[in-house]
Amino acid sequence: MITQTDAGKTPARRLTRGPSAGWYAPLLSGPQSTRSVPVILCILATFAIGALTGVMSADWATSGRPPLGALSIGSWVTWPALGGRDVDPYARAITVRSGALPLGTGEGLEFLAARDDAGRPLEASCSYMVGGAMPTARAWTLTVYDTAGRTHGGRAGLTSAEVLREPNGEALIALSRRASPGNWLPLPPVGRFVLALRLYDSPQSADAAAIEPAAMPRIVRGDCT
Amino acid sequence: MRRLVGSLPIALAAGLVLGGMTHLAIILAMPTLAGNSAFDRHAAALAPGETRLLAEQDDGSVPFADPAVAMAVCAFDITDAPLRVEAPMPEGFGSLSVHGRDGTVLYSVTDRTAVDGVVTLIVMTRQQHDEALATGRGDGAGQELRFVSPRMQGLVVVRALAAYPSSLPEARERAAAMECMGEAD
Repeated sequence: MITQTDAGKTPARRLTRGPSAGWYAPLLSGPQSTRSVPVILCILATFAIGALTGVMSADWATSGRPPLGALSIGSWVTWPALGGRDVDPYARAITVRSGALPLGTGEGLEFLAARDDAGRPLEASCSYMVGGAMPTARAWTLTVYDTAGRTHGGRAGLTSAEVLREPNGEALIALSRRASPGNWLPLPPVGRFVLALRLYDSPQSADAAAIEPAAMPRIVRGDCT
Repeated sequence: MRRLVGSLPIALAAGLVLGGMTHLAIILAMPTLAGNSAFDRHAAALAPGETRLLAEQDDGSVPFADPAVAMAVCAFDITDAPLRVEAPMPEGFGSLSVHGRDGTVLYSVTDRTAVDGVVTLIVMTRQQHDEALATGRGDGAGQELRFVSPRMQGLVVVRALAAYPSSLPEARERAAAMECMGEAD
């Protein structure tokens, strides 16, 4: 009898004891439960870092000028792929985001300048002389923009047809806030500005990299107030 | 606490990898998701075949637009029928470009391709092009440009340069005279 009851009790005790020390015990017991909090925290931190860095870097990469494919010739910069089908995803995202309608390669070539020939940023408080050589094109325009791409006033640009030329055929254009005789473009009241040079129907547009820096107009800073 | 500190670099590294993936996904999805693209701005306001002159650029509707150039746009969807564009060119310089909905410049020509002062461009799919050839509707081939577009939707943009400020009204008139029509089968 004794052996029978002992034999009957032992399995019963095992059954009740087994689960309490079983697989889920670490989740219930005291010292182990603090470990799951860091795990959740780390997962949350991972997602927060991922979302933050992903969105902010994408915003940064698409809010300015295309980060890839820039071609610098002297102070002037162009993005030759922007006017064709083999445009990179960043340039395409920037185009779509800004709502711009880029000039096609078959139409012409667009250059921007945000610095003078000495590498200093273009400031509206200074005066500048732009001119000299010009790449071959049927027509060109030179336009002053603020950094957001807007023009100020009724006279923001000059075309190749309307500029006055030196005896050697070169055009010199003064940029300043104060009016000056001859070829003159007014600058925005404050801040920095951007120059755009557009060459319409240029034989160079298919191969912009072949343009020599000496063939582009110079940007020379004068007095600053 | 030591565990927490120890797993922070792992969380940081995993977060940066996730950030890189998010970054790429946003960049690649932007052409289809951005609501500010030239196509979204203009196509919504345009009836099929309607040409609209873009406003004077002072309003900033097109950033970095050339104030000496008059621009007009029309939207197209060539799923059902090819688009026929007839754009009269101005005296000085004029050009025509086809922009995909995703902002890509698909095709661009200058007024050198004009016949009697008008650039005629047919925007069509590969299938429509083959059908046109098969049915022998290639008679006007010398008078018109045929462009097989890789995109179904987009914008056609005409540019007319005003050499002098006084000729800007004329350039705008010329740009606005572009006609975009679905080609009848």
